[in-house]
Amino acid sequence: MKPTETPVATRPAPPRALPRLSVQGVSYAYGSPPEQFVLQPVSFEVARNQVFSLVGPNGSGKSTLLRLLAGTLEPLAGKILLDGIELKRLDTRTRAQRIAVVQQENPLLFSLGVLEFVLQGRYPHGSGLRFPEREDLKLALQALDQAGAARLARRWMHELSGGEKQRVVLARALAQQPVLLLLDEPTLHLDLAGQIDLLRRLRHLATSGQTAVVLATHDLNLAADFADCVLVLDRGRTAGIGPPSDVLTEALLQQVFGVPLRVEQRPEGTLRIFPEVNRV
Amino acid sequence: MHSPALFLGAFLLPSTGRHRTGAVATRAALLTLLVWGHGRARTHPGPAQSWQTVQDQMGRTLRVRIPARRVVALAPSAADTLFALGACRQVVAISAYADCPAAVAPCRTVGQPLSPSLEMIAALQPDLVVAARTANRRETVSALERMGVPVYVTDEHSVGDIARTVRTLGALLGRQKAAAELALRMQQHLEAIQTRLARRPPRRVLFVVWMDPLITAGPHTFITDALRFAGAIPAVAVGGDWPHLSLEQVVVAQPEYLIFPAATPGSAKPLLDELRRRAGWKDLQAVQQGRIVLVGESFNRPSPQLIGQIESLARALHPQAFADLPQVSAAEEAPCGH
Amino acid sequence: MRALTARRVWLVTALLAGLLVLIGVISLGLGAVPTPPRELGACLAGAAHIGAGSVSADCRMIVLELRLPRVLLAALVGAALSVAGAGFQALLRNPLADPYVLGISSGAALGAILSLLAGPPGTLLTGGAAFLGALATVAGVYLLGQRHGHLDTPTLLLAGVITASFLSAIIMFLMTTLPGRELRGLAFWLMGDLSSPLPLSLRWLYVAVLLTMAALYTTAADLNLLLAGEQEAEHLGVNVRRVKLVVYLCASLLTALAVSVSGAIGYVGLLVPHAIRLLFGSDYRLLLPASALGGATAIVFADTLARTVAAPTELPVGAMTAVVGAPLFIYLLRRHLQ
Repeated sequence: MKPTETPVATRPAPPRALPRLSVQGVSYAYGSPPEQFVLQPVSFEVARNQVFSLVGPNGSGKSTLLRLLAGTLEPLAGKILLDGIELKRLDTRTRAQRIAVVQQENPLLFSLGVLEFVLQGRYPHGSGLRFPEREDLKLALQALDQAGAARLARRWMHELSGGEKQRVVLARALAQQPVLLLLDEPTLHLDLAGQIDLLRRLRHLATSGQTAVVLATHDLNLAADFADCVLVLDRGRTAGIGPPSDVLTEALLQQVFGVPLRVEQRPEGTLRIFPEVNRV
Repeated sequence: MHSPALFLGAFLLPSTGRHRTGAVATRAALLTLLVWGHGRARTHPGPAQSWQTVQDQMGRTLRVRIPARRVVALAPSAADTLFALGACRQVVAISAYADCPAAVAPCRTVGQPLSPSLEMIAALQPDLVVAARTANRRETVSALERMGVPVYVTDEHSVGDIARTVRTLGALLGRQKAAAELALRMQQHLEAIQTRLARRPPRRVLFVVWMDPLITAGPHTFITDALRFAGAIPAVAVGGDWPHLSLEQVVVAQPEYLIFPAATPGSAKPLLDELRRRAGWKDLQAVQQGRIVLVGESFNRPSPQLIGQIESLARALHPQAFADLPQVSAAEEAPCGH
Repeated sequence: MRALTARRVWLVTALLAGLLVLIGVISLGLGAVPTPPRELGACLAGAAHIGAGSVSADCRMIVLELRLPRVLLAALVGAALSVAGAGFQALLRNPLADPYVLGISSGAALGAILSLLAGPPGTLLTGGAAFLGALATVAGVYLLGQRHGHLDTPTLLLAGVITASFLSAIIMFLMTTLPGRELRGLAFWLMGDLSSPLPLSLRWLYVAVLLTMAALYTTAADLNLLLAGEQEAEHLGVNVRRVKLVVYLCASLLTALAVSVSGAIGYVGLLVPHAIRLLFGSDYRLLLPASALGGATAIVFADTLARTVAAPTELPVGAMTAVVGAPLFIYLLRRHLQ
C-alpha cells in the first residue's frame, strides 16, 4: 500500500469523537396541513472530522435535508443538534457563524470583486456596517488559499469561469469559519481535475478537525472515494447508511436508481461504480 | 432661515467663476439690461398710494396699494383689458401669448401663463398682478401670495362680467374715468348690435372649443353669453363649464352653424374640406352646406375686444341685419396710441 | 485591496458633498433674473451675518426666499428618490426597479386629484392629500405582497405593478371629469414640478427624510448580501424578513415624502444609483450615501436647467429629467441585456 494516499474504504475507522451534527428522527413535508412526506424520519450523526455524503436520485430529498441541516427549514418532527444545541434555538446570525452553505447556483445581480465577495463570509462575525478589519482580510485571503483560489483575489466575479467561481464561493463559505460545511452538488460545474481537487480539499478540511462536511452529490464514485459515511435516499426514505463499501452495493443501488449498476472492488480497496450498459 | 444660510456662507468662495455657456450669457446680458435697467426705473410719481383691502372675482381677499403703479398681467385677457384701459405705462410686464400694443412694444414677458418666472415677477416689484382663473394655475397664485405679491384673479362668466372687470381694474389702477368710458363704449356697441338683431330668431350653433375630444362651451361661460349677444344659442343643451360632447348628440341636434376659433384669420375652406372627410362631421347639414364660421383666437379671451368679435360673428350669422353697414364699425383706437 | 473601508466611504461622501454645495451655490446665482457672482457672494455673506451684514431687498426676495428654498427642496427630493430607488433595486432584486414601480406615485397622484376635486384650494392641502394617498398605497401593496406571513419579493412586485396600473386607470378616468384649469395644474404635478416651493419652515420634512435615510442605512451591509439571494443572505446571518420590511418601509416613506412635495419626478430613482455603481461600485455602504448626494446634485442641476433653459418660462423639472433620463435609460437597458 502506498504510504501517503490511503483509499478511504480501507482506512481504519476514524477515532470516536463527539458528534458535530446529530440528526434524530427528522422528517419533513411541504404544505400545511402537510401533504406528502418529502423526507421520512431519518437519523444519523456526523463526527467533527468526517465527510458525510448524501446520495440519491433527483427528488429523493437530498436538497430538502440539506436545507433542514442549514436551518432554513424547520423539521416537521425530530431534532437537529449542532454540538449538542438544537438548531432552531439558534438565531440566524449565530447559525451563520457556525454553518456555511455552498449552493448550486449563485446568481449575482451586480458586479463584485472576488475579495469583496469572500469578505461577505465574515459578515456573521461582525456587526453594524461591518467594515473589514485586518483580521477579516487575513481570514478571507486564507480562505481563498484553502479553496485553491488565491490567485483570483484581484479579479471580478463576473469574469470567472464556472469552476473558478465555485472555488470562490467555497472560499466565502470557509471565511465564515464554520464548524459544519454543507454543499449541494458542488461538483456540477467542475471538470474532472477540479472535482478531485475540491473533494481533496474538503477531505483535508474535515480530517483536520476544523469543519465537518456534509455534501449532496450525484457522483457515486466521488462519494465512494472521499466520504467516510454515505446516506442513500430513495424517495424520502433512508435506503442505507454507513461506510461506502457497506452501503453502495449493487442490489441497493439498483433498487434506488432503477438502472442496473455494477460495483467493482478494486485491489486498493476503492469502489468503482458504473452503469451496466447493454449494447444491443 | 439662518442656519441654512450659515451653512452656505461657510462654503463661500470670493469669485464663483465663469460657468455660463454662451447662450445663457447672452440671455443674462439682455435680461440684465432690461430688468435691472428698466425695472428699477423710477415710475412716474403719481397720486399718493394707499393700502386697501379688495376682494377678487374668486372670493379671495387681498391688500393692494391703490392706485397700482406697477402691474403685471399674467393672463392674455388681463393684458388686453389693461391696455384697453390705457394703462400702458403701468403695465410693467405681460405673459406670453398676450398682445403687446405697437405703441409700447417690445413688452417685457414673464413667461407662459401656466409657468411664469416667479423670480422675474418678484424682481419687478409689482403693486399688483392680474391673473385669470382660466389661464393661470392656483399654485402660481399661491406662490405669489406667499411672496407677498397681491394677485387679483378674474373669473368672467358673462359679457357683463367683463365690464365689471374693466371697472374694477380701472379702480385699482386709478383710471376710473377711462374705465367708465370703455364700459360705456362696450355697452353702446352691444346695444347697437342688439338693435340690429332685434326681431331675428337666434341661430342654433355649436361652438367648438376643441375637436378631439369634442369640447364645447357650457351655459355659464362668457363664450356662451357672447354667442347670445351675437344672435346665437347653443344647439346642444349641456351642463358644466367645458363639457365633452359626443358627435352623436351634435348629429341629432343638427346645428345651423359651426363656430371654430382660429389662430389665424383666413378662409374656412381648408377646415371645411377636412370636416367633409371626417366621419360624423360630414353628416352635419352645417358641414354639407358650408356653414362654418371662423372667429379670432381672441374670442377665447374675456376682455373688451370680445365685443368686436361679437359683431364679426353676428355679421356672419345674420348678414341681412348688417347689409346696410358694409364696413366693420370703426375699430377701437389702437390702445396706448398716445 | 479593493475592499471597502470606512475611510473610502468618508472620502467619496465628502467629495460628492462638496460637489453638491458647489452646484447649489452656482444655482443660487442662476435664473430668469441672473445674479452676478459678486452680488451673490455679498448676498450670502449678508444672510450669514458675515462682513457688512446687510441684505439687499432683491437678494432677500429672489435668492433667499425664492431660490434657496427651491434649491434645498430639489436637493432633498433628489436625495430621497435616489436612496429609495437604490433600496427598491435591492429589495426587488431588479436593477430596473425605481421608486414608483410599486404604485406609490400613482397613489399620491390619486390623493392629489381627490383633493383638487373635493377640497378647498391650497398647495399644502394637495401635498398632504398626496402623502396620504401614497401611504395608503404603501399599506395596500404591503398587504397584497404577503405570503406565508412575510413580504415575498415576486408577489410584492406583482402586487405593486398591478396596483400602479389600477390606480393609473382611476386617475385617467378622474382626469376626464376634472375641470380644465385643475387639469393643467395636475399635468405639472405628474411631470414633477418644483416651481411652487413650500416654505422653508417645513423643517419636519427635512428631518423626516434624513431620519428615514439613516434608518435605511443601518441595513446597508445586509443589502449587499440580499442581492445575492434571500437564501444566501440567510445563510450568511441576515434576518431577511426584518431587513426586507425595513427597506420596504423606509424606501416607500422616502418616495411618499418626495412625491407629495414635488410630484412624480422620473428617472432619478432609477438612474442615479446606476451611475453611482458605475463610478464607485455596488457596495450599499457607499452606494446609499453616494446616491443621496448624487441624486441631490442631479435634481438641483435639472431644476436649474428647468428655470433657465426657456426663461422666463419655468419648465417642470420632470421634463428635464425625462429628456436626459430616457436616452440614458435605453442605454442602460441595452447594457443590462448584454
